[in-house]
Amino acid sequence: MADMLSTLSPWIGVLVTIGFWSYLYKENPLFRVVEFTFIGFATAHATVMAITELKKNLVAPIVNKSNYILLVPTVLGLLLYTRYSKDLRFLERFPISIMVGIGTGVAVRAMVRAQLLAQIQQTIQPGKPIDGLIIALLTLGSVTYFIFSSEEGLPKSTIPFYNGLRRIGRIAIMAAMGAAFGNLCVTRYTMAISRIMEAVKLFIG
Amino acid sequence: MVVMLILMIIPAVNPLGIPIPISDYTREVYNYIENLPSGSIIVVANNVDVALWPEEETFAKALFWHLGEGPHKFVIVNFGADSPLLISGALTDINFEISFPNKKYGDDYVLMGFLAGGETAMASFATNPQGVFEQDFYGTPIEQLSIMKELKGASDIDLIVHITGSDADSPVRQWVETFHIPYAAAPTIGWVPTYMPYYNAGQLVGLIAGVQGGAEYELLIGRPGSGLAINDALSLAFLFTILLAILGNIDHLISRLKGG
Repeated sequence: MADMLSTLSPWIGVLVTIGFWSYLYKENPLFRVVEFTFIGFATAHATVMAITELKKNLVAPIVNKSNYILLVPTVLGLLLYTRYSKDLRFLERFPISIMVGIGTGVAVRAMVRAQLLAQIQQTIQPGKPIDGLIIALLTLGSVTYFIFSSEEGLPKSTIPFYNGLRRIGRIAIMAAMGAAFGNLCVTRYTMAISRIMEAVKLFIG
Repeated sequence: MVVMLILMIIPAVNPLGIPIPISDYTREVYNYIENLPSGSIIVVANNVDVALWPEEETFAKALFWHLGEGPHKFVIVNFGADSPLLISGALTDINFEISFPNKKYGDDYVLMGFLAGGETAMASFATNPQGVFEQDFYGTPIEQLSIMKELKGASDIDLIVHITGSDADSPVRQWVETFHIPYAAAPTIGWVPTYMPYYNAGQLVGLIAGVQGGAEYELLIGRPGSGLAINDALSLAFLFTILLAILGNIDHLISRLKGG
């Protein structure tokens, strides 16, 4: 049975790929079948994974090792479902506040060093003055671009400088978005190529 | 569409071997692993889902090949629900057990399951790797895995190689800045720009940039494989895309000149 499945699975993979790509021509029953099958499988997989993890990391330690402290997060987790009751809805605030509080605390403790100081230090490295200057200019320009208030309050002499900075910022943002789009294309092309290679391997060997 | 399809099929049938340069940041990851003392523990963290796996599979296989040949131990930890299946598939594809009989499961390497919680889970794992798991992915109790007994805290981890389809903020905040663990990232290409500032600031020991990085790593370990074929196809596809962009612009220019 396992052998048969492993033989069949690449063929099913190719068939499903063709089914999805058939949408490029037009909406059709094969596309519908593979779309719903995919959603069904993804949901089933997520559910099985969640139950498996609960069994491994919650039920087994409580039953086998009497690790009763795990009942605390269990109760907190169950409280999340109180949102479905109008009267008990307020109880879901407790687990949410704990999750948000811990998440924020864990993230914030290293944020300043990781995302601010180290980056500033790198930008103003004495060995690379031109690089640092360009990065500083583009950063300032990009930030300025998002100042939506009118230039009316500014002294007249600074308006050309302000507009120039905004223009630089716009170019920087467009360049960054272009690069991001290019990267996205690489990802999508890679997905297509890997499916094509799978099919070619199957047909040609 | 048809031309694009043909261009993608050609390298699959007959790899062209278009040369690719090996970037410094890929080489740095390779060199870092090579220079680690024998018996070092490397954590391979994975949070890539099925959709992005084609980009990372090449590097994952090349990395396992490298780790299999080397004298180090490794622990695979998954921060994505799909990740354990994908990573175990990569180990199976390269026949890890048969290819490296000297590497004993549980002593030299181990595959842990999915650890939910995102950034908090990353912090918990670094604080107490033994405390966050009861069993490995296959259900073996953690007490029976000798490699996990050696992994008591962040100071026992010599390197984290992070195969990821997500941004750099969380791992850098936790593993690099809080726990001071050497960290190499292997993000999908779309996330590479978010990692570059951290790399430039010296917070990463190296960077593997998507499938291109995977292909470079294949070259470094001397095992050219699917990554290079994918890169051939990508190169052809992008040349065609550039050609279409140029033709489109010429057409637009002509229309404007004609007053259209």
